[in-house]
Amino acid sequence: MRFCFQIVGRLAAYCDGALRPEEELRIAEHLRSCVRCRAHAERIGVNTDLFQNLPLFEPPDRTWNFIEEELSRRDPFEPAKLPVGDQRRSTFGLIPRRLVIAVAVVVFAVAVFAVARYSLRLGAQRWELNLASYLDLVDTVVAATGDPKENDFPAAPGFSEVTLADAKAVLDFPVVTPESLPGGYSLAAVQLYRRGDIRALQLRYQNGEGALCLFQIPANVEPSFGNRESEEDKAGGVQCHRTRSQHCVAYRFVLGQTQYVLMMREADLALTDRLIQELRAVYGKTPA
Amino acid sequence: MEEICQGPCLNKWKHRIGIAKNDLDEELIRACQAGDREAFRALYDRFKRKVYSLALYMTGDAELAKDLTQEIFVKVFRDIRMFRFESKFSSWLYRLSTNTCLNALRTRRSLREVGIDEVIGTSAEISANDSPEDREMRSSIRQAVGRAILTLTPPLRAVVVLRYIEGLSYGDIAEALSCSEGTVASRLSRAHRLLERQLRSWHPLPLREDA
Repeated sequence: MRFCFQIVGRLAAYCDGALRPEEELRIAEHLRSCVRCRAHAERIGVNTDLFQNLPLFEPPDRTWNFIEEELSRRDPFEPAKLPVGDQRRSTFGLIPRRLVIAVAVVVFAVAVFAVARYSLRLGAQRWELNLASYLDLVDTVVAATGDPKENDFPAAPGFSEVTLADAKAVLDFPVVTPESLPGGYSLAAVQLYRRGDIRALQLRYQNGEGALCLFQIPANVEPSFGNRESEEDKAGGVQCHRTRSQHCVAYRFVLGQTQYVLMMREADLALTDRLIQELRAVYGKTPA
Repeated sequence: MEEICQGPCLNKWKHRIGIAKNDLDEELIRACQAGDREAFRALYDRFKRKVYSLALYMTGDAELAKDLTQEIFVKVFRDIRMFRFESKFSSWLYRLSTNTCLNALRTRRSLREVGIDEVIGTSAEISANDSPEDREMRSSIRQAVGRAILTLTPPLRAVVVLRYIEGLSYGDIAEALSCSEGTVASRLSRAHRLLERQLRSWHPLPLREDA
């Protein structure tokens, strides 16, 4: 360092003895030959003495009182439960908090997806199982086409016509699919509801004079009849819930793991007894 | 840190004065982290002069310095559980203290700049054995130096106070101010140049202006 401007910014550190030995030597060499820088270094030394003679002061006595009061109000004295080095770790010990948060987010996302995907299992308000709407549909069709006895039941919205074999291949709960039923009814159409893992079956029967239909629903799905009143009844040896609409009556009952909703144009207790007994008999022969 | 516990330091920590300072610091801090109220008070007693003096020389206002001291210690006790012994506690404390003071200087525009005169003028540090003239002279010098420091910009003031009054090393100052040691050195040199004229009349030696 030959020039003053090169060392002027380092003189304070030189006076403090805070430089590396080689730099200190270079500055000392410069100071031996430069009176101006030497005088400047001396003034720095004197100023430093002046600064270092400044005393430290005690804070006023009341200072602690305020701190203590403030801390008591905030209650920061509660003992820490974790060692300081583990502040960012979870209560699971060695698992980092971020990992726990990430896992929680994934679990939450999966739960939300599952609820959205399988909400049909959890409620009865979805249109596919809204049998109140289906009863309305039946009434509307009958009103539009005349004699109710001769009208077939319409296919339920969301159900597709399939063969019996195809339906059985995909159904994951016990169903009965008799080709014929008491009263001369024979199977006319097979409708399948299939969405995700949810399956439901609608069988439509006709006997030339009238029609009936039979819904078969897994036990964990709740069919809904809306605000329609339901009456307790017993038919074919099982407990039933009977619901009426203007041109239809529906019997809801359970056999094993399957819920059945039998729909007829008019209430016929004798026929209903025979139909349900037949279904029970077929169900009894159905392999689990 | 020449004193371990001053003032009403609590008995639990008083008898441990013989322990090495660093060990005692760590023990005190761990006790504070565990919520020991007596340890909080002992820690306050240990560092209160450093913190209060830093705030006083930085602001020149005794009342504000007291408020800042309170604010700093409340922050220390609130955040002490986050201290992980990865650096010196004093560095952590000085960083927090300096930042609090610099923030206060940024946000509070009206300071009682004569406040430091009153504090220095009544300082008990001046020996009672001095003659009245000596006491008057020493008090005047200190007041002048204190006022001169207040003419510096806050960043330059901070390095002067931390280095010469608080006695921190260049490395500790750099850590407290989040800058390099080179920056500390250049700020100190600049501060000396700026203060040279103000302090010249108090220099005890005849200074040579030129060869």
